[in-house]
Amino acid sequence: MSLTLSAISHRYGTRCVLDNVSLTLAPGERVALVGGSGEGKSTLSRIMLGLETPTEGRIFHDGAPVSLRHRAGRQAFRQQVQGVFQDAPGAVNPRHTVARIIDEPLRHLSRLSHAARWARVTSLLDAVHLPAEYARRRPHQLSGGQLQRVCLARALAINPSLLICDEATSGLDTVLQVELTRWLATQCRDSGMGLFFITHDLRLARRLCSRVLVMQGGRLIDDVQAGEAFTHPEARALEAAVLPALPPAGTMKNAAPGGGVQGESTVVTDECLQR
Amino acid sequence: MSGPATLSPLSVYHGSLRLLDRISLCLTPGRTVALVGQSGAGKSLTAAALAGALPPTLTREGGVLSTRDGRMPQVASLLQNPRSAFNPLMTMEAHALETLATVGVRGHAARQRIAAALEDAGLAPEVRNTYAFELSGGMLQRMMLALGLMQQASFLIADEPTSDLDPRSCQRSLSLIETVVREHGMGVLLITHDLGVVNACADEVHVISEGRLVESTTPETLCRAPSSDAARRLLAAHHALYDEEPL
Repeated sequence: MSLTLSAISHRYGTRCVLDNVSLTLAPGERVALVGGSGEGKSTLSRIMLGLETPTEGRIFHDGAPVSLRHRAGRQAFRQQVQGVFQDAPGAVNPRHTVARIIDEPLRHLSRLSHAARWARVTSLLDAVHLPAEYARRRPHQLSGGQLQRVCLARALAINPSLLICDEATSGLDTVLQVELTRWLATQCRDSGMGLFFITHDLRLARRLCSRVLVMQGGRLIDDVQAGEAFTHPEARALEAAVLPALPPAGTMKNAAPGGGVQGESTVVTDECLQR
Repeated sequence: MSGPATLSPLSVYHGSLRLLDRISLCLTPGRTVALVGQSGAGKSLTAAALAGALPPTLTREGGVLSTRDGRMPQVASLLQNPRSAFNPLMTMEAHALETLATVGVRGHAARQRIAAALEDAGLAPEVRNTYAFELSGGMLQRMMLALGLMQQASFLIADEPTSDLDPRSCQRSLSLIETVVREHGMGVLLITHDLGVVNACADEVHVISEGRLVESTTPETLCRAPSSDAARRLLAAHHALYDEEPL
């Protein structure tokens, strides 16, 4: 499905958080949205998920205006668009089992039988590389990375055609981030699902998505294909601030300030390695 | 400023379960030592032990940071989420006075030190009368650094000071750390899971995995020839971030 935002503006009180944002996501397209904190990225994601109604502007789903006023409209929309957020522990009910958490969209948005739902939960756990016995565990028995995979499984349960990830990998370490984004890419490729990936990490955005949007002050200031250079100066500044892939070569940075000090450091280092 | 300080082998236990296994490090004034590892490897536990802030349910063995002449140096901390480090009911000045009282500085001398430290950390004098909720995360991080500067701490423990920050805030945060290393000669222990951060500012790097130090080297050597599995995993993920190939 395609999702079109047409001249979306949003205000909290008198403060304008989104300013005339227009955007179309083609079916199956993988788009990243980057920008600093407080620039309006998460508000935009909540509006795209139908969790907030914009002050101005409209949303179109396959060319038809989205109406969330009635239950049928909401259900149809939620079957198509699902989300994953940064705070996994905050996004699940601590008293539910993992199976019940993943089952929730199936119960509300599908007509599958109990047995079919259980089979789907099991296959989803397998898909996110969690052991089947985790189905009976509760959120506090899982690590942050595992819980985030449970949230991904829940979002994918009803085969949405668009997945919105709002800093879904930000709290994880690099190894887990890369593992999850690889897995997401495979899912998108296999099912033709579109992805709207909000992140502050330009490196991840480029790796995962074919198109990168930059947001600042509630406006989209840049929209380029991955691999292309940014055009807006603020977007370029963001690019310049990306951390180095390699240590600076040939600098004096790693030279010891004094022989004795280096000696001391080495002694401790050797001790550490000898164990 | 004191000389280099050595951390005597630190072990931490939860009951009989060993969480940290003889971690020893050497911190040197004017140098940045990075401690890298995956989540759950024991990075933050090491930082908490160094700051004397281990949860009471854990027991520790060793882990005393001392200089060559046997003294225990002043250590300041910089947290990823600095908001949790401030009392919401106290002004910044009240925090500063309390910090200084712990090192025996009061009255006029305290006020002078506060003014100097705020300036060094790049904060306006008006910050004194503000509460934590009135300041941004970046400003609170500066304030934590100012607290370290005013108690003339020789060492700074920065626990994931940049994770979850956008590139520009991350750069600001790292340059702040670089300033205290360069201009105030502080020795920094920088805890991170991102080798990009290590490459940007560390002089030496220690890799921690399952509570043990498995590799201690320079960032160049780590990038060129990692010797432990943990380092190879981190490095593979790090390179994957910069790969040109789309996923």
